[in-house]
Amino acid sequence: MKLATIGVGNAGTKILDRMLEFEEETGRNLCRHALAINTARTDLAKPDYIPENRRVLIGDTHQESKGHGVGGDVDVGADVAQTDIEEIRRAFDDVEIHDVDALLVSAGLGGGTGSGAGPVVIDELQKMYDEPVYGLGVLPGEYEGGRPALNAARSLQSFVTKVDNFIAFDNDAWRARDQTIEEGYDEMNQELATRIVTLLAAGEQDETDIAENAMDSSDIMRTLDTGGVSSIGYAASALDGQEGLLNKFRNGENVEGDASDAAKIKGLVRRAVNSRLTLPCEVSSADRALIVLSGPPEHFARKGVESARQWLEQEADTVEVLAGDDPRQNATQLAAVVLLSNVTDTPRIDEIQDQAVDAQNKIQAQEEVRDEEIAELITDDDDELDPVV
Amino acid sequence: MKFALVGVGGAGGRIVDALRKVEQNSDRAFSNEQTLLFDTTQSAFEAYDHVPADRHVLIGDTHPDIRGTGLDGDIELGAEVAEEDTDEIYREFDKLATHSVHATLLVAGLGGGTGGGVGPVILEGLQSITDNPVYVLGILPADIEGDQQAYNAARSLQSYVDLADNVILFDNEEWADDGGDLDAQYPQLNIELVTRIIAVLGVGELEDAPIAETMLDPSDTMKALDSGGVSSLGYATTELDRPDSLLGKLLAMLRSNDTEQEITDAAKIKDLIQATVDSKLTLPCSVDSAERAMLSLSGPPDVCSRKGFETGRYWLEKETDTVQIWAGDEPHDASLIAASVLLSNVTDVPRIDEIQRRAVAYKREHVEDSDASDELSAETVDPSETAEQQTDSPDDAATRAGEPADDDGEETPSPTPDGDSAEASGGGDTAKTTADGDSAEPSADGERAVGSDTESRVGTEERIQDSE
Repeated sequence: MKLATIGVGNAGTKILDRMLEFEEETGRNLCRHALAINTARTDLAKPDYIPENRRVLIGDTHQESKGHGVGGDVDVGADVAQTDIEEIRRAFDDVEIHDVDALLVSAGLGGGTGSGAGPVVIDELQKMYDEPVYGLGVLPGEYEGGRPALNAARSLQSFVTKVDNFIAFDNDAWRARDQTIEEGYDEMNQELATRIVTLLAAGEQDETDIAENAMDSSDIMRTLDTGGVSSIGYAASALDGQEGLLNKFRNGENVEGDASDAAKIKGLVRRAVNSRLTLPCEVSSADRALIVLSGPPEHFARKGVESARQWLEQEADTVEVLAGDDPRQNATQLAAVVLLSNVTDTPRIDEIQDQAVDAQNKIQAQEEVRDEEIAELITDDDDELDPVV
Repeated sequence: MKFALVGVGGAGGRIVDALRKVEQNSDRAFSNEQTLLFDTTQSAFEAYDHVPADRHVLIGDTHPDIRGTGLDGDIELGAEVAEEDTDEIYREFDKLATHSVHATLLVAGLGGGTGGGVGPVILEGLQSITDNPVYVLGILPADIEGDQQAYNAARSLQSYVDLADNVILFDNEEWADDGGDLDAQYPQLNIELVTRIIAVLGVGELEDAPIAETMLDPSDTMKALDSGGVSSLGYATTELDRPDSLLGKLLAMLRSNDTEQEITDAAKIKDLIQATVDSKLTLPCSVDSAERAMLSLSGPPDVCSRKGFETGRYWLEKETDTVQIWAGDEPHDASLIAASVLLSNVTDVPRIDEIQRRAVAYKREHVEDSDASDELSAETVDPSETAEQQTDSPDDAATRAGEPADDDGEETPSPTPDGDSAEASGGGDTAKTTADGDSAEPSADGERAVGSDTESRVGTEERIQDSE
């Protein structure tokens, strides 16, 4: 697939930057256009891979933002994007849309910019283009608190109704120990970038001479066509380089190797589904699924892929499971990516909604008594004292 | 956040001067050199070394009651003088490039005549010239500073809270040593205060620092302060585990790969965040009465545990019982890790209640004898209550020696509505003498409350209300 990618807000921009990094490191060419949109001038200085002239500051003339963020306020984030919609539109002037199959908007849902401006950007893209617009969103962890949960619960509704599919990443599931503030979410962003790029870059070379079983962009788009919320599983296994190659030459027919490769592939796919998903979910609640096998083509064993596909049909309780290859001649590992599209049983989203409702009630209760409590604080019990001016 | 500094009165001037001194000696630039100091006495400016002379503004120097010698604690007079000088004050505002900063911070002692009386008028002016928020850093007087200061503070606090976008308070009573000379303690108190103000409001303004992972933008600080009301600050630091000596570095190199050693563990960071709230706050308060909070962690980002930060932030959410929390980190190549917390719109503050009680007592005794007794006479008079009011303060008793009880033609006006002394009341001069004895109390002093007959008492009451 060929994508135009847009990172909105701090988290969205960082994820996009990691995607570009992973592409460069692995010789992929997925993101034909990359654009960062943010409300904080400082954060726009961070990316390493997004070109300087592809970073757009919005809200620098907005009274509540002025180029220094939106204070985590999703409504201000949305308002800023609405106000600067012309500027956002202009940033797509040089995007040659016939070059791309789809658009992808990445954003963190806990802050104010990604969660508020993100849906506005998506609305605009849907108006401008016929190509599908996908969302890639990060859900805040419980420990990030009630306000991010409220932002996320509200923003998720907007994202899911506006995008053609929403691929979710749950910070809570990926929260790790022993990380420093400097490392921050980098490791998580790298994990996410690996998954999304490996998945979507499959079938990126639409040349005719590649294997018949190669994944095609249209297969991926068909799987995503369900709408809703999706999750990605991933597993990789290092290839034992020269020794393996030597074995293959010796074996000639390569029958033995093929059998072990088949088992290996099925095992890899099972591992991808059963290990940590980007959004933990009940696999059987998926509407459609797709398997991409990425690595040196000589390791693709047809039997293995087919039996893995059948296994996933059972697991996901759907007959709509596609599988395909993503030949990467120079890869040093064999990777399996599984897309579970439109998963509907996701405990984490329920938790975020509960946390959000609590947060909203608390904020409302505080606002109701605010003026009264301040007045009570600054006046004496019998109201004998007057203000000086 | 970058913020302009406007000091009003002695305490305000000293603190702005201290803020500028620290700023000049640090790698954190927060004021953009936007400063302005207002005072009613020329001599006050001599103490300031870090605010240029062209930013010293003397007001009220033409007013007949001051002539540059100060207000002697009279906030009513302070407010009056400032109102008269508004043209001059607005001209001075031109020196502030408020568009070059995100906000303005007005600093004032709430108990003084200038800080408490002139300050709110200047705040009103600042609000009218800028769209950016104007915050107040207010100093609450210690008990030993006297009851008049408590009275001034209770009244000016009302005006400040009404007019400011947020009022951050520092309580001298909490921070000063009992019995010590307060003047001698000011420098140390100011350092404690300045450290906290800079850590909270100056977050993100370190020069040449790497960009924070989770940055606190000025918009975040503004949101946290946007509740209005009264706020308190907490601050704590911890030493780094990282060996800083050359030997330490060598040892660290020898046990290389042992990165675990270098990460300041989660528990330590969480404890540090807890310490910001549990240690002495600038204004002691019930933490769970805060409406909003902001937390920042400043230190070398390669050694601070992110999990510890998240856990500490979550703890703060539970402790403050609010979800309105803004949290971020600030990379700082320092030998300490510092955590600071802003508790915004705290509403359970025993110290403010205490100041109000003292203020009411002071008012009943010194300011509105006539007013209070007027009400009493109009409604049901409880003689014992009136008597109590007159005798419960030795200070009061001394001032009023030979007052109403004497029927022998004593010329002092009576604070009680008894006809005898009303007859005996002298002119304005006599009344003023009495008022002066109460150390320049505001508003209902002799020059206004001429005589003590009922009519003029009503007039006084009206004037007090008019001045709102």
